[in-house]
Amino acid sequence: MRVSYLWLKDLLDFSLSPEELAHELTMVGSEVESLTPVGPDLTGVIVGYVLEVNKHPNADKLSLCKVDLGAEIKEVICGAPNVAAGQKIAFAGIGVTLPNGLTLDARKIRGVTSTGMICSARELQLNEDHTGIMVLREDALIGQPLQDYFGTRDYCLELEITLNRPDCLSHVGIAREIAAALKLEFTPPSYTIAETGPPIETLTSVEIEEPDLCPRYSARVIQGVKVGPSPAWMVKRLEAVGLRSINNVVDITNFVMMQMGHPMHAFDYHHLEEHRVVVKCAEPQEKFVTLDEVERQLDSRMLLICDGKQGVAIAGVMGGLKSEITDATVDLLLESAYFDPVNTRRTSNFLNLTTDSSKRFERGADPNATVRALDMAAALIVKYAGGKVASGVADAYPRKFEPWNVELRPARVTAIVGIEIPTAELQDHLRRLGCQIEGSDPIQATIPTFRFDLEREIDLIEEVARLHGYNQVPTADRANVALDVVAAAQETFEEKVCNALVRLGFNQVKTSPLIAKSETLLRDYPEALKLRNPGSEDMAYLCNGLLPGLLKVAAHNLNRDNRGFRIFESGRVFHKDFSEKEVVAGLMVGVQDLGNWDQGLRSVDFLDLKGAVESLLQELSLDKQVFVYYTIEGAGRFTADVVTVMASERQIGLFGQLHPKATAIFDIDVPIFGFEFDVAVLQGQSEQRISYKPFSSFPALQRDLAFVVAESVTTGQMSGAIINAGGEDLIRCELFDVYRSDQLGADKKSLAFRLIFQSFKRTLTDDEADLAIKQIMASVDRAFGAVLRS
Amino acid sequence: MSDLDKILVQFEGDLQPVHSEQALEELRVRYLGKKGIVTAEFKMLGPLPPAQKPARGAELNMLKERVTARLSERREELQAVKLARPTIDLTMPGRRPQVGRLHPLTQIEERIKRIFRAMGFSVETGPEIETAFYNFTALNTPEWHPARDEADTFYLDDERLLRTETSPVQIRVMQRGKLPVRMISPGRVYRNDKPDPSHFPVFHQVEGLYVDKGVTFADLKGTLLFFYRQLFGPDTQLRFRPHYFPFTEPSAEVDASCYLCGGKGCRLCKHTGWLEMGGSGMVDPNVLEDVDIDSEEYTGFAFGLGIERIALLWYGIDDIRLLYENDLRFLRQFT
Ligand SMILES: [Zn+2]
Repeated sequence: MRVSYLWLKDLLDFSLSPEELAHELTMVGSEVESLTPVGPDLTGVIVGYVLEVNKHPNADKLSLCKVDLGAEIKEVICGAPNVAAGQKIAFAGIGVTLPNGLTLDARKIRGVTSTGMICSARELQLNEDHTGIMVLREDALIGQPLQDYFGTRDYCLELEITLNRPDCLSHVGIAREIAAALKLEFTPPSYTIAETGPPIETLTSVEIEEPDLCPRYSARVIQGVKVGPSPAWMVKRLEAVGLRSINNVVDITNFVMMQMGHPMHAFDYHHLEEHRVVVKCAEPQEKFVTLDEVERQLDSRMLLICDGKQGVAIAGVMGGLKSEITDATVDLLLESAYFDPVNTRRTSNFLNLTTDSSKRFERGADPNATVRALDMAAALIVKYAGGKVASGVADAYPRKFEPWNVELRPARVTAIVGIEIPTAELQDHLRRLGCQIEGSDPIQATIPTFRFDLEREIDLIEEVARLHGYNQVPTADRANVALDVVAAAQETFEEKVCNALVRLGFNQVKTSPLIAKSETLLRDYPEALKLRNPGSEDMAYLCNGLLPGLLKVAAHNLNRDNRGFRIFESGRVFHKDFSEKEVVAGLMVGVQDLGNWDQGLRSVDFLDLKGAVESLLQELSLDKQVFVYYTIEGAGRFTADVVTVMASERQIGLFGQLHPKATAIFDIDVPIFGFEFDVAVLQGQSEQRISYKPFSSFPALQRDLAFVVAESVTTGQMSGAIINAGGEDLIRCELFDVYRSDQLGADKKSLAFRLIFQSFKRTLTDDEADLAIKQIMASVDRAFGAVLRS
Repeated sequence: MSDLDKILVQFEGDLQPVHSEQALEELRVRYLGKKGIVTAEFKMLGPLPPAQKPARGAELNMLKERVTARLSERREELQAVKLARPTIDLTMPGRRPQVGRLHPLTQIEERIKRIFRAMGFSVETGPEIETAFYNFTALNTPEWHPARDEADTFYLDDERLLRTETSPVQIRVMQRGKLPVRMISPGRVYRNDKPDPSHFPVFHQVEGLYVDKGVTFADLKGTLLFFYRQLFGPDTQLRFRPHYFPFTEPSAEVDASCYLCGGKGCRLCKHTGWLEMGGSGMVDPNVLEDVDIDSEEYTGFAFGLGIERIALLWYGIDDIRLLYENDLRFLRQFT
């Protein structure tokens, strides 16, 4: 919404500069988004008087002029054919910057120095006239700044009007806000007209078939107008708020709308069949050509203004081409109505057609302003376009809107705002907003019908609070602490997961959960949910897992010469049944930079991934409680070598190498290892409270044993058997070497384990350890045919 | 102290400043050489009475052994230094374990959560797939409000949508019926915006709510001032501008004084001295009544802020899409 600074000054006498006004409006709730001067910057250009015009000694087409500036006389060269002694002109001296950006300097033209310039209208960007210099009126004062000659410079304020304040979509509405904020008296201007024409009943009638959609329709008829240009002052005001002048009648309807906020429409009376107005719904699929010469298809819920035969305007949105005002128009019918906001909004949306009129009706106009708007328009038309106004108003008002009462308890203001505002001040604020006030506790406020947003006491509290000034409300310097302990365990657990992964070298990423269809197609992922109204095909589905987003990030970084990295994300994934769950997933990609630059780089492999996962589970206190089964699953998004992590017989996650077919979707051709965990299940298995476990103070014994076994025997089987057979004092069993050789044989390998024995009760003897080792050897020999490597 | 002990003390004093093999050799000659101090003492054994010779000889031998041992010790030390030196190039890169980073949005979110937790706010979460009831109706959004449009909100079907704010979580918490409520709800929200430098269809918000007896607008101002001073610094000022939000009344936009220029005006604050931070206000009585809270007895305040907005301001990031592109050259900067 644009308002003109000078237009506001026409309506209200206030003494703020444009900048001060912008601040004041922002602080009462109509945020000023921009403040721009209207028209060219004429700083430095002054009125001069041409004393003499002589021929330039060396150039036929140039003249040498003596210009009186009041304080001094300047000699300038002028090339304009129309310059003559006795003219008042616009003079720009040396150093002045013209609106076109040109800064004048002293210049010698054919041997004579010019100390300034007599300007044309185009040079000052006032209009396109470049046929000669601009000649000013006789009454211009010599030496006066040119801007003063034209009057005070106007400013355009671009306001953000909140949805609840349609009354502020006008200069009167904003003037009322300024007056309320500055505690000034404000009375909107009123217009009186002489009704010199025939009674309106003899000229037209208004019939409303849809009183719910059109509670009021008022019309006046003016006969004998002369359509022509608008007065200059009105053109200036309209242009200041970005409206182009069309003709006096149309400009006046726009002027009324911009001043009062009430949209109007003018029809050519003789293009209304039977000279009457019927308000009804359009026929299904009815076609209608609007003013902008576009044919639009209507539906039966759209309200149409019709004459005796057919539609002439889409109610509250746009008039029709057929009945528009032309230069030939002599008699007018002026419409000023109130249309239902919801229906206007629907029509505007369905037709994809937003106008100054529809914007105001869909937010809510004032049903009781229709006749005032007609009177203002009629008065201006008679003044600037002539004609006679028919006596009376054709005013159909089947659903009457009356002002309503709202009570305001001063104590309630204190309870909400936290400060006591004197009752007199409360009353004063409400009165300045247009309410009628009675009583003091409670205050009875009668709400004007242009403020339909004021329905409840809380609405009035907001009004008095903002006019009192939010920044006048004290800032509480105590905390009103509610001592209510609410567990936010899951959320802190997620933080714990993220922090553990960061320590393990993973970078957290945040990807869009909105992804393309192709990206939802990882095998064994559930079907993904599609948005009904996606913004683009790239972002049409909700992610059904976190791997797609991570793979996209991996591809992005691989394509930018990043050869290896670890990334993870923690977030929601969504399922077809509208359920969602918290998942954490990560990828290990390419060369693993372990910081050991002198030990060579190598590509990530399964054991890197497994180690990371094991460390993560340990960080989350899952290592002791969880038994991990390694199983082979069918090749899905992972290759066949995938690990399912189980805890208490629940699957908490998967890890392994991603299947090349899955990574190929993202144009990745390097091996990628990844994991996915269900955060809620992880949390359920995580030890919430760590309790201290004592450790032995007796010395430990270490034994290294290398067993030769068949290739088919796994490390897990061997270590399991060793632990089982080793007795309670065997506290650790770790693989430390794997060895293969021709000597051992093709299907054989040597697995070397380091065993640590330690007792809580006493110092162990070598004999005790040897005994345990004998049992271990017998056990692995029995189970796997394992023999000590000699 | 015997005369031999004195020699030993003198020797130790001479040994101490020796840091080259050459000086060490000179020292050896001075004590053990043909004309050395110790050698001279041996030469004086001859004239002694035979009865004194064995004892004096033994003492001298001990002195000589001692000096010899100390010399060879020092020689080894010098050689060790000589060996080690050329193999350490102190300018070589150290072996640095790889550490990851939290995403900048997470870092900001955690800072925000820490401040509110310290003020006694609980942290609550809720579903991202919401119903129109929780996302709009329960938040007092009128039927005609444009936020409900498909142009603004992503719908899954007639009922379900992707939440456009985290306030639905506040409704769910109030529905539990336990008062007072003092909570923040951080999380991901969605709007039907085309991606550009300042918009992304997915972003993160933190919204806060405090409902209790006697909560006022002054408390809202105090709480937010404390929060923004913790976030941006103790000199931060706040400005409250009237606005319209369906969820609250009275409603206010909150501006914080620009942390970069201190309010004097700079490029970051577009020369206004203020940074727009988010909406706030007193919870509309309709909202409270709809969750069976007596709005005469209880009042509350609510506020919201955008995590991306703070991240962009705080880190000087000029394009929101960088946060979702996840280029590691970008992510690794946020230590
Ligand atoms: Zn600044």
